[in-house]
Amino acid sequence: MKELNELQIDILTEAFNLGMGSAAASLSQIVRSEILLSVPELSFIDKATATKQLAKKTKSDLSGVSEDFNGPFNGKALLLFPADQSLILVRLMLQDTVPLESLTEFEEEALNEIGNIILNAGLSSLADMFGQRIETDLPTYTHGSSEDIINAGTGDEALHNIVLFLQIDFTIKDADICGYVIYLLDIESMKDFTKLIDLYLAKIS
Amino acid sequence: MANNNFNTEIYESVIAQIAHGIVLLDSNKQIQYWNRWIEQKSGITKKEATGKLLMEVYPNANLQRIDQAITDALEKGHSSTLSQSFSNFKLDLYSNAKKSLPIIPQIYVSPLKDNDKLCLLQITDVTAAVTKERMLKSIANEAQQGRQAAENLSQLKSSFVATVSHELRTPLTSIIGSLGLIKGNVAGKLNSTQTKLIDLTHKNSELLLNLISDILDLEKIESGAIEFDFRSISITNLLKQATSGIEGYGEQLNVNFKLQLPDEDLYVYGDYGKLMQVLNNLLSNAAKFSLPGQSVTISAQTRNHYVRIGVEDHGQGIPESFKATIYDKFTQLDSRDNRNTNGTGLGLAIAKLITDKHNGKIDFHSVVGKGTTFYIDIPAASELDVDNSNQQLNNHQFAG
Repeated sequence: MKELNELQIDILTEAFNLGMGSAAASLSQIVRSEILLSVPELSFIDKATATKQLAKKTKSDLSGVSEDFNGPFNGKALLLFPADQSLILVRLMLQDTVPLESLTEFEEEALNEIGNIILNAGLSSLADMFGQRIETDLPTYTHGSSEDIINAGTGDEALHNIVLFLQIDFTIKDADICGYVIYLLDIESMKDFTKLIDLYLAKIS
Repeated sequence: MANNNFNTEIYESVIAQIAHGIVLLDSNKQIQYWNRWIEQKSGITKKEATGKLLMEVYPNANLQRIDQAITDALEKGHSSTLSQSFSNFKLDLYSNAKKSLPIIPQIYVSPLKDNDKLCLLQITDVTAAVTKERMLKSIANEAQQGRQAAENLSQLKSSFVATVSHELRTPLTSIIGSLGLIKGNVAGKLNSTQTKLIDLTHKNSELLLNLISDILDLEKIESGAIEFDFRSISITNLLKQATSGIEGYGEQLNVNFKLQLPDEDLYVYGDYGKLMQVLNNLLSNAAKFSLPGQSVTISAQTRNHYVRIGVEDHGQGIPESFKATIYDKFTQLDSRDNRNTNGTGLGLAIAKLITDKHNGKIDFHSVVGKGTTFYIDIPAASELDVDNSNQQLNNHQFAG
């Protein structure tokens, strides 16, 4: 796997932070309360390493949102939280105080909407940076172990082996919640992706 | 394989009949398709809607997230879900065209696959599911509030009882001390009437002090404020001390105590002081409800992994009507001749709490007119417990 250099990582982090800024503005408007989002960490790793990292960081089942995307590169985007954190996030946003142990059907839909806004905003930043169109499918709710979620529906192991791994920090109503955004890319897409970053860097330098 | 007989009309008919709203917009956000579901729910016919801008049909929509989602679908190719939880938009959809009840919609916006000039809106009626979930949440909420209120009240009660009891006990101890001195003629010799009155006052003050001590004990055990010091305890030591401690009281009532110890000493795992409190209570009750000249027998025997300590009297017995509430607080049976009982009605409640904390059991069998046997089962100490306790004792003696 070709590794990205520091400059490529920096430019991607900047793009995602821009995207998260716009997602935070949309979310703040929806819940009428200030929400801050930032991307403190970004890395390109293989799927097995991503699965291990995620399991190590979260130590529990994950809940989140997944959506497929198509454009100059194809893949699947995931926003994942430790299950208990997703409960806190959704209930803070819905101002819900009923302490049920798992997300209700409509809280899952609410999490879908949150994930949809964040994942679309991230992809939108990439699309703007590359001057390309990246289409997204409707989001679906997902729950399970990091291994089950990352492996689900990615088909051939070798085809979807590369993961763009982002940590996303949420601040909402004095609570700090940590989530993870994962873009699963196939090998061909990875090549196209790197090419597009280099083209962008050449354009701005 | 697709059936060629299925022509466009049939597909259109399928979409028209589908139980969701389907709206197709072109790149100018003009309505190109408006299915039967949305005709029925909006009261706006396909003919009236087609060719119009969505914002003409629903002027409020341009201020809402739905407009941004449509723009994102057409311009960026993004799909969006607009959950009913976050969206305040109203598309003015009703359960029927006569606008009876508004429905709660869930909306999905996406670019039409292979045709990025069209945007598809799918609208689902989630009213029934949302109403059900709101009701469930409301029930859960009420239950939570109820639990919280009960918890607060219980805490308030406990802290009130503890404070009041503590504040009463200090002056009462001083009153009893002074009454003792007066009784002892320290403040001058009393005549017989004065002696009678002071005796009565002294006796009732002691009763009050017992009551306050019991209330405080009960509250502390219930709230977990008292820590139990579990160790291996010799039954011989425990029962001998308990019996010698109660003998004076027995003499007052002319009741004697018989101790039946096993040949080989038994050991239980428990808190010595607390078990002594339970035995004191059972022995004084047994004496209280015995007739002068009768005896109370204390015995111990192993029973599976427990040691059973029994206290048997030959007194009046417990009536059936009293058996079910015997461990309740402030329940008290009058002794046969209403003799000097000094009971608070809390002794058995405390005894039960203490045996429960030992993972033990308290129970009784009783026949009216023949007598009662109360017994407690306390977990037997393992050899390891016994060794450890001996070790601690040796260390203590060595250090001392």
